[in-house]
Amino acid sequence: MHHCNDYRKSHSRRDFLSTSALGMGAIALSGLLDPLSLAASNRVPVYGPLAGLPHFTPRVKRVIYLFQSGAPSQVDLFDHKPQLLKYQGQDLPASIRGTQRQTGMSAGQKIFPIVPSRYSFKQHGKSGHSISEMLPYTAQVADELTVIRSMYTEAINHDPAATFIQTGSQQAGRPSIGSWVSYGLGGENENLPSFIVLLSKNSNGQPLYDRLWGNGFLDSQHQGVKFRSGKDPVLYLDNPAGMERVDRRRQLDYLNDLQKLQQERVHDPEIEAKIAQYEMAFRMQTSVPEALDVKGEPDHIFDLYGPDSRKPGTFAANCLLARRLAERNVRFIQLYHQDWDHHGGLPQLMPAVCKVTDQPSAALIKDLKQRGLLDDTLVIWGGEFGRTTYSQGKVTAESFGRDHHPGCYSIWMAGGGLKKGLSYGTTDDFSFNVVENGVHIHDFQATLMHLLGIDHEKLNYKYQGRRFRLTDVHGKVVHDLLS
Amino acid sequence: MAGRLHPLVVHLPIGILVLAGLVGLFLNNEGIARYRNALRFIYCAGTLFALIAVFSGLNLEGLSSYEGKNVFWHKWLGITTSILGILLFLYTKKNRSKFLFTLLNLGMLLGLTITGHLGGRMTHGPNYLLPPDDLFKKTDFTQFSDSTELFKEVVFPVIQSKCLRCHQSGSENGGLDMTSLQTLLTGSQSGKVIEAGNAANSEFFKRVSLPANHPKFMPPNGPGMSYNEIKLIEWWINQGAPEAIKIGELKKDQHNNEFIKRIFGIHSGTMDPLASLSVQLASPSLLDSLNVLGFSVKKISSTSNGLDVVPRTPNLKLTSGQLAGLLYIKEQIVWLNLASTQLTDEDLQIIGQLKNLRKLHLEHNPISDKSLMNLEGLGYLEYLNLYGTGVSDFGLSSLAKLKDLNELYLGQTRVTEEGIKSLQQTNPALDIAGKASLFELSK
Repeated sequence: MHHCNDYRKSHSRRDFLSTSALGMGAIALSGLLDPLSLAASNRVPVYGPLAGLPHFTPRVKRVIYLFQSGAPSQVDLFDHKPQLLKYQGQDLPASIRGTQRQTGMSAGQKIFPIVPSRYSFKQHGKSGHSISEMLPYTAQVADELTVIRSMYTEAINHDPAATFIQTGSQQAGRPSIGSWVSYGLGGENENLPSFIVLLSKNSNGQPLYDRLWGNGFLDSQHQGVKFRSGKDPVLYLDNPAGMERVDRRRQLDYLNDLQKLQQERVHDPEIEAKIAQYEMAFRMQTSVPEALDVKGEPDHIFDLYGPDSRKPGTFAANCLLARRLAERNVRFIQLYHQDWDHHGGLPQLMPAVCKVTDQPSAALIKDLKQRGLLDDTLVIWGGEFGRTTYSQGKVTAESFGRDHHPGCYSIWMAGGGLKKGLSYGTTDDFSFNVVENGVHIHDFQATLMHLLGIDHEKLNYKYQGRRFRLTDVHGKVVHDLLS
Repeated sequence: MAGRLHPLVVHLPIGILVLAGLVGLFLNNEGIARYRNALRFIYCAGTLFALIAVFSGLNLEGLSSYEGKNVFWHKWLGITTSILGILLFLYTKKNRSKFLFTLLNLGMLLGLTITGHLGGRMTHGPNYLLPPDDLFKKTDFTQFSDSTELFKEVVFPVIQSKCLRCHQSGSENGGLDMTSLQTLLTGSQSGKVIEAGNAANSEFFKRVSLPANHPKFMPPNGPGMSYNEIKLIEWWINQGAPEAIKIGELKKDQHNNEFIKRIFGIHSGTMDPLASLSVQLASPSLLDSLNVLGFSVKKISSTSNGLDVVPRTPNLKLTSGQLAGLLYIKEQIVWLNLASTQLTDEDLQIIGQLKNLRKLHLEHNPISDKSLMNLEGLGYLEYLNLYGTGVSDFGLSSLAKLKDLNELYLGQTRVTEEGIKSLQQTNPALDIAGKASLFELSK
């Protein structure tokens, strides 16, 4: 059936309920339980998967994406290059630099002085992952991680690069990965959005735009819902003072009736989306406070995530919330942490941001693992590109900086369906070019979708005359990463 | 150094001397007399360049690895041709016998042809005149199946395209004959080129993996082996350089798995874990009514009739009446998530009937050891989550019977280290996340 006729599907459920004896019995049964929830559920079904999805048996059911905005330096964290010490302060050889695009911030430099990492690296666990001393907690979970050291991207500036890895296109306007997943697989919890976004409070650096988790041309219920820290996690969600929940229900009922009148005349799917979102908001009035209330968490959990986890809005607190949302079957949970854009003063900035993010990231892995949730959750840690092996500006004993570098960078993933402890891909001795097994942004996206049971070439959406998909016309699933 | 120019300079005397020879053949005595100076000039120039070619060739002989019959005849015929050139130059000074003149010219042309051919054989291989398609077949690493013979169909084509144009029978080219595995293993004049099981010590592997500008790099002309091809040679030698072994019979050790996968195109990641499940499709109306009953019921995938069931609203109590609804799809449920639904031990009797279950989430429920007895019949269960339940060591004995179980979560329960240890003994493959914090050991 052509998707323009999708509105017809909305009748099938009602038809069923009015004809099936079993259906009526079931209604009677569940009606005894909670009249309020029945009232809501009769109006809006849980968003189900699209017909034919998942395309094959999924290895994970949800994703927690710890986006490290600003681009962490692979040279100082994961891509250990001891040979660089020999070249300390020397100009990066032109043969290595090749035709790599450079930003305007350092392209004019007379020399590109190589700065080896000032941190020591050790191999950790049975996997032997080389991890910097900056990430002592991540090192503890080394054997759970699949580290890709050969990621590369096309964009060289933050906005296009972040937009590229989040939406598959450097130009804004396409749906974010989470929106595609929500559109394809639907939600598992009818009381929470299937795509939730958590931002670290007071982290500085490159701005984050709502379109990074936008729905693009997909129906608007698939956009990421941003939860804020503090009293009102979702703005304007609570009833105004003096309004009872039952009153709100009645108000919504009348509103829905009106909207349905309009819907029967114009068949605009966006009306359905609007009704769905009003209903979701109504249910979220109770589900969100419950999901975000960490008062019941025991001390040892706060200790696991670190002292920051008691301060709402920190990366640590958000990691803990991510686990709570994962327990509530939210499909796609995306965290953003800024502060990684170290053009200068790296020796001061790097330890600070690592201190804030390292322990909670590792704690999330440990916590999910002990609860048995890592088996069907995919956790991703990484930024939008890498950083240069040479310094932007002068190198002094106290300070230096690294510029943007799309040519290679490192990310890690953990969770179901992956080869635990695998180190994938190789860069050259300068951590400048990919030598073996490069993973392009579209390959990464294709692999992510594959783990969720989605064939990235088949999940598409027709808009303005052509079919769009997350990976555009590119992307290969990196089977080498899969167990 | 001058020797390296030999391939460059040889072509000039060939051209000039061929011109001289042809002019000499077609001119009669009168013509020779008329164009004597021009003719002598051509012989002189051709011979001069021929001598340069001879000297650079002699120099090259010392530099290169060329040897054998080809080189011998190429060298002496080249010298002979040059001498004939000198003779012709001297011979045309005065009017002399046309017959001898013709004979000398023919001899020189023949010498040129044979010398040139031998030179071509040395640089381009003995079969350089044959059509190239069966010599330079590209190795396509994607079409292999388990019955493919490793040496014959995978390794040998690489040798064929990269080595065989020189290394054929006879004493040429180091005396290495690579036309068959036997002769390859026999080695060259200077000994064996393959040490079975040790690629790093094998001359064959060393030569093809040198930097391309190294004088000992093989092949000396044309593109070297690709990364995959070099890795293939290395791996084949490390396997003991076997001849009659099929891909399906290879031992797939951890180290080489990635490589084998890449070149043979074997992907383990795409295996459907539910491929063996064959159950009827549950009717859509049934699923709709279960939805009303409080469950979100979805097909695992478009290729499987198995069902994935979660409560529509997590963390709410499920009654046994609701749970009984699951019995309508007891064959089809393969994944079931009942975390935090206030299950009782009695409810587990219903769960115990869902015989095709693969993954079962029971975490955060007040269930005890009694519940686990109900799970004994779940023969396909692979994943069981009992985090935050009331189970103890006693109940674990029921789980020992679950042969397929490979992930078990027992955190925040009354299970002790001893209980986990004894279960681990009966089922060593089982991955148990127990009481002790998982990662402390790795600190």
